[in-house]
Formats: sequence, structure tokens, C-alpha cells
Amino acid sequence: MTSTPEFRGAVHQNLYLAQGGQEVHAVITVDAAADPGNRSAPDSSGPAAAEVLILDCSGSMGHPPEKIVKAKEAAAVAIDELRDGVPFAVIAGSSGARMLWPAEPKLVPAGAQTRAEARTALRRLGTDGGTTIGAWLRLAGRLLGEHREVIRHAVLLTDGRNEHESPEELAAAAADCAGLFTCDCRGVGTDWSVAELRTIASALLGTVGLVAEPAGLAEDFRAMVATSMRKAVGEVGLRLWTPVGAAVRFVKQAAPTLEDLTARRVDSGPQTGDYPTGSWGTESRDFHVCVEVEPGGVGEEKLACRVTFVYPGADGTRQPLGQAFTHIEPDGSRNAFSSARVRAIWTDDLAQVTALDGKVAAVTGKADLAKAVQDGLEAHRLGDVDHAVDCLGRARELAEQCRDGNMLARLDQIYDPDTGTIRLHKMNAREGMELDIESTKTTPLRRG
Amino acid sequence: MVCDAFSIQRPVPATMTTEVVPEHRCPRCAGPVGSRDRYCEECGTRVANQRDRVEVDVGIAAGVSDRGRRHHRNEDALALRGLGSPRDGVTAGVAIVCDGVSSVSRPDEASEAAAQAAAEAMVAALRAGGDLATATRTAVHAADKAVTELADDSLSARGAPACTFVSAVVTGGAVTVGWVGDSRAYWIPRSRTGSTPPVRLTEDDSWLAQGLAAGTLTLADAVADRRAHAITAWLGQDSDDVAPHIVTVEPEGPGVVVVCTDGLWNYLDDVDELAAALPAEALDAPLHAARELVEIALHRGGRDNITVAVLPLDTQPLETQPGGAS
Repeated sequence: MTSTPEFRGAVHQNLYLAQGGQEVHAVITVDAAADPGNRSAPDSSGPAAAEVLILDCSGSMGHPPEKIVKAKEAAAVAIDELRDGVPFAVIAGSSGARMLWPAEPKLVPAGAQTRAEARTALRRLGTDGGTTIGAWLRLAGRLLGEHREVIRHAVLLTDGRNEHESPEELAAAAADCAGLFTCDCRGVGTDWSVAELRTIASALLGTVGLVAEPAGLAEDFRAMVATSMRKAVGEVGLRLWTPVGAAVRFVKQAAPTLEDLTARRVDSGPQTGDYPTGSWGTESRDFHVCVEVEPGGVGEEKLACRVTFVYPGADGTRQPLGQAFTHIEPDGSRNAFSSARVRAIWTDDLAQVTALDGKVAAVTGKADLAKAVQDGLEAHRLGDVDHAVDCLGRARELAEQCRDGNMLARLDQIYDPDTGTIRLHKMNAREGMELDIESTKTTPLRRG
Repeated sequence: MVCDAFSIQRPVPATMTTEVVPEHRCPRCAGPVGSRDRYCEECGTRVANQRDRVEVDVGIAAGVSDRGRRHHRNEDALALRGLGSPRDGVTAGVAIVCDGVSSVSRPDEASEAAAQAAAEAMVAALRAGGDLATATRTAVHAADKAVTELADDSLSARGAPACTFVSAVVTGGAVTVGWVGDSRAYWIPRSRTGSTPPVRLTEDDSWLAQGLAAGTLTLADAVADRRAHAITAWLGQDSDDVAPHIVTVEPEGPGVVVVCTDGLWNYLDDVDELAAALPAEALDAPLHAARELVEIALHRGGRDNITVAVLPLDTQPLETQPGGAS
């Protein structure tokens, strides 16, 4: 066992509320640093991990044949990336889910022989049948649910829509697998649904990606498995303490991907709840918390919430990770504490109340931008051209305001500067999907 | 040791916050208030630390200790005593001021323990008829013992509790000051035109002062150095044998003794500037004078905790002389 990573963070907020004010916003930036020993020997150390590859082998994967050929190559590369001894399996998904390797529904430790056997099984994989992603996830859940390794991860590859299951069946399967494993989802080509894979990735705390060209699959798979192998702690929870009488408006991950965690709260005490954040390696994330507190009198100060990060200890109970958070006082001085404290001070000084914290404004702008893009694309899909144009035009303005060069460049491709409007016909399917995917990707805020 | 550096070099084990040691009850909801972060564990209300602002007036001496504007707690401590009853057998004013060393564990407890222990020891020694220098030495050793007893091996990672010390005792026409570290005492005569000018009675036990005294440093170099505030002597487990400096003076005319921590002298380093800032009525209204001086430090930034004690000394002979009894 290696030690858990150390979390270092900072709290950014406007401390002041007007008389009667209740809503407190804060951005908490977090940088996790895994044990340096892990990084120096990534192949031989690290916490126990288990990996499942889920490959779509429905009929469409054979058209063109390059898709299934490259998917099989990518799976082989991913298997090579596993540390020796990491239990793994490959699931073949079509109108149902079946074990591709091993034949029995279980995981087998990676080694020279098992890798070779898995490669042989991959070579024999053909394409046939439909797409039932919920069933594939459930098989992965059965396999990984029996394992106690700290890091349990799956990679899901598909090229099509989940046509042979209802959206409800898929959502239920994803929800049932939450906590059993984390899952990165990849779509190849442009015939799959970003919304479907986002449902899965969101529930299973993973990423969504579009691999436009099958040739890009191998590097993508290698990178996903390598990232998983570098994770140092799994099932990390964001623990939120709130005062009696307070209401949690939302808890969101703001970077590197936007993720609303609010509905996933599990109470962990009379005044605390835990929000799942999945597994962590050496990485940076930002969170946006909004709490409504009972108002205090002018001059009073209240703790609106307190954030700590917890993980499952050896005895199964959740324990705090090593952590320290910097707090910047109104006068610029800094104090460090072992929890992130979000405070509220009531004042009658209007200038203090109206000062927006830059980082809170930045994550709010980014969330509004993502919503405008997704609303616009959804309207486009439903044929509501006017609404789509409105939303994407608004998105472009927001991208300008929050200086999001990536989104601005993508939106400018469908923007007509002469008329100042969005021209939907300039956007092909792939560009639309990429715009959708990119809208929820964010860069962690600058530290300091 | 650096006196005013507050930084945590390593993440603190998070268990420190989950463990709530109720010190107080919340005035709003009666919920428990943790000793560490001063927020009610039930309703979240911040409960002011009693030590954020302390004002003491014992007539013959008065003082103010303030958290300042930058630090999250007050690590300075102030203890004042006035003697004058028949039981005391002596008329005297005693002020003890201590500044906890921030870079080690529990500096606030160190300064408080030192100040209180010293005040008790000083009073006992004076009542027993001891001379001012002996009483002062007794007080320093009592303070050092109290701080040393706070040391706890489980906290050794940050270093044992430690603090500075300065005492002033006035009686008759004399004042005796004793100190360890960089907390200071000044004599400010009422008459600014008399033969005795305002004077600093203490010499800092600091890296800066030692370098200047040895001629190895220029003032400009030293002030720019981050070690300028590092002290070279303190009370507590990690100090060597405590050797307090003790000075007694017998001023020619009336005036006040100002005892303070670096939270004040950082802003009023020059003795003439301090004398100019002191309200003219300090001799008759020592609490007012202490408040005014603290206010100046707060106004100029309040970067550190600020503690000021003012002891009037009227050279009209009082009932006793040092060491005497009525």
C-alpha cells in the first residue's frame, strides 16, 4: 500500500452579504499530490487497481471495418499499459454483453501469458448485433463489484446510439454501477450520442471523448489506462458541513469537467453530507459550492459551510485525507486550515457586498456558457432553429466574456460577423458533437 | 525563531478539526464552540475569542491587548497587578507582557501561561518584601517554568510552546524592567523639555539587534533581511538557561512606563515618535493612553497582535522604597 495523496487547496469567495442576504458562493481549488514514490516507479507501485475494457462489437463497428480493427488494436495497447498483477477483463458488447476474455465472468491478473491470451481473443472478435450499453455496464459492474481494489476503472467504447434499450434502462444501469467503478467513455465516428455517453460518464465520474478517426483510438486508450494506473486514491468524497438551518443549493465540480454533484449527496452525519468525486492521482480540480444560510445581523459572522475530503480507510469507515486550505482575508493576508471554510459576514457597506470574487465569477460564467451551448444544440436537434441560434449566440457572448479561447474559436466557425448571427448550416455533425463535449471541459483556475 | 511568521509548512491532519473540544457555548443557540476555529458547531455563528481584545485597568497600571488586523488570534498576553492594600505592605504597579512565538505550537497558551505565572510570582515576591530586581527575576523564572510545562512531546513536530517576556514594576521613584526576547519597555517623561529625554529601557534579544551591536550589519541590510524579526532568546522548553536582562532606573521627574510587543513598536520604533504619539494625559489616564497607542498600530496596518501597558510613575515619594515595607 502506498500513502494517500496530500490535498492542498484554497478558498475563494466574497465574504460579505447585505443585511438579510442568505446565499453564499465559494470556489474551492484543490491540488492533489500523490506520493512521489509513485511517480518515480509508476509500473511497479501504486495502489491496487482493477480494469475492464468494454468494446462495442455491434454490426455497425464493421462499417467501415477500420473501426473494429483499430478498436481491437487499441484494446491490446491498453492491456499492455496495465501494471503486472492488475486484474482485468474484456467485455464484448452488442445485443447483450459477453465475456471476450477471460471466458468466465471474472477478472484475471495481468501477466505475459494473460495478455497474450487476451490479444488472441481480441483477434477473433467479429461484429454483429445491436447496441445495449446498459447491459454492458451491468456486466462490468458484476465483475468489478466483487473486487476490493482501491481503483476500479472501465473504458467504454461505442460507435452508435443505445438503440436497443430505453434511455431509462441505460440511466438505471449507470446509476446502479455508481460507486462500483469509474468509467471513461469514448465514441468513435459521429453516429453516437454525446448525451448518452455523458449520462454514463457523469454517473461513473469519468470523461467523455470523441475519437473522430479510428486511428486515434490506440493512443487514447493507452492514455486513459495510464491515467487510471496513476490514480492514488479511490472513492474520494467531498464532505460538506453546514450549520443547522442551512440549505445546500448546489455542489459542483467546476474543473477539469463540469459536474453537478448536488443530487449525489449521501448524508454522513447530522450536519454533514458526502459528495462522490471518484479517484484522484496527482491532479487539480475546482469545486463551486453554494449554500443558503439563515441571515445574521450586521457585523455578525457565520460559517456557511466547511469542506474536507475523505476516503475509505482500511476499516471501511471514511477518513480525512491529509489536507490544508489557504484562506485569503479581505486585507490580503492568508491563513491555512485543515478544512476549507466558507464564511459569511453581514455588512451594511454596499461596496463590500457588490464586490464579485473573480474566481466565483469565472466558474459561474463557464457554467452558463456550457448550459447555453447544450441548450442551443438540443434546440438544433429538435429543429427549433430560432432558439438554437439565440442560445449559441448567447454562448458566443459568454465565451468572449470569460475569455474562453477554445469555445470562442469553435463558435466563431458558425458565426457570421457581418450579420452578427449564428449560421447553423455551417456546423457539421462532428463539429456539433465536439462543441457539446468541449462545453463541459474546463481548465482549472489559476492558483494564487 | 521568527515571531510574526504564521505559515503552515505541511498539511495539518484533518482530524484536528473533526475533534471539537467545546470551550464555550454559542450565545445564540448554546451549541458547542470549538477551541480551534471559533465557530459554533451547530449554527455556524462566529463566537469572538475573549482574547481578541483585552482591556485591563488596575488604577496604578492599565493596558490593552488586541488581535490586530491580520492574525486570526491574539497570541500576545497581558497581566497587570496593582498593590497598595495594607495586606500587600507595598504600593506598586506590575505589568507583564508576553508575545507567543507563532512558528511553534500553542503560542497563545504560552504567552497567557507566562504572563499569569509571572504576575503571581511578582506579587508574592513583592509582598514578601523582595527588592524589585529579585522579584523580577523570580517572575521570569516562574513564567519560564509555566511555558516549559506546556511542552508536549506529541506536538514536537512544530516545536514546544515559547514566548517573549517583558515586565515592569513601578514603586516609589523607581522602575525595574526585565525582559527576554524582543518585547520592549520605554520611559516617557511627562516633561518633553526636561533633562531626561524619552528612552528605551530594553535591548531586543534579536538577530537584528545583535548584528547591529556587533557591527556586522547595517540597519538597511538588517531590516531587509527576513530574519530581522528572529529572536535569539525566549521562554519555554527549547530555550537554554533563561538569563533575563534586568534594569532599574530612578527617573528625575514624573512620566510613564510603556510596555509593549512588537505589534506596537513595528509602527513606532523610534522612541521620540512614540513619545510624541503618547497622549499628554497618559499619567492620569493610562488606559486611554494604551488605547490610543493600540489604535495607531491598528490604523497603520495592525499586521501583528498589539499589546500595550502603561504604568504612571509619579516621583513624589510614595509610601515605600524598593524592598521596603510600610
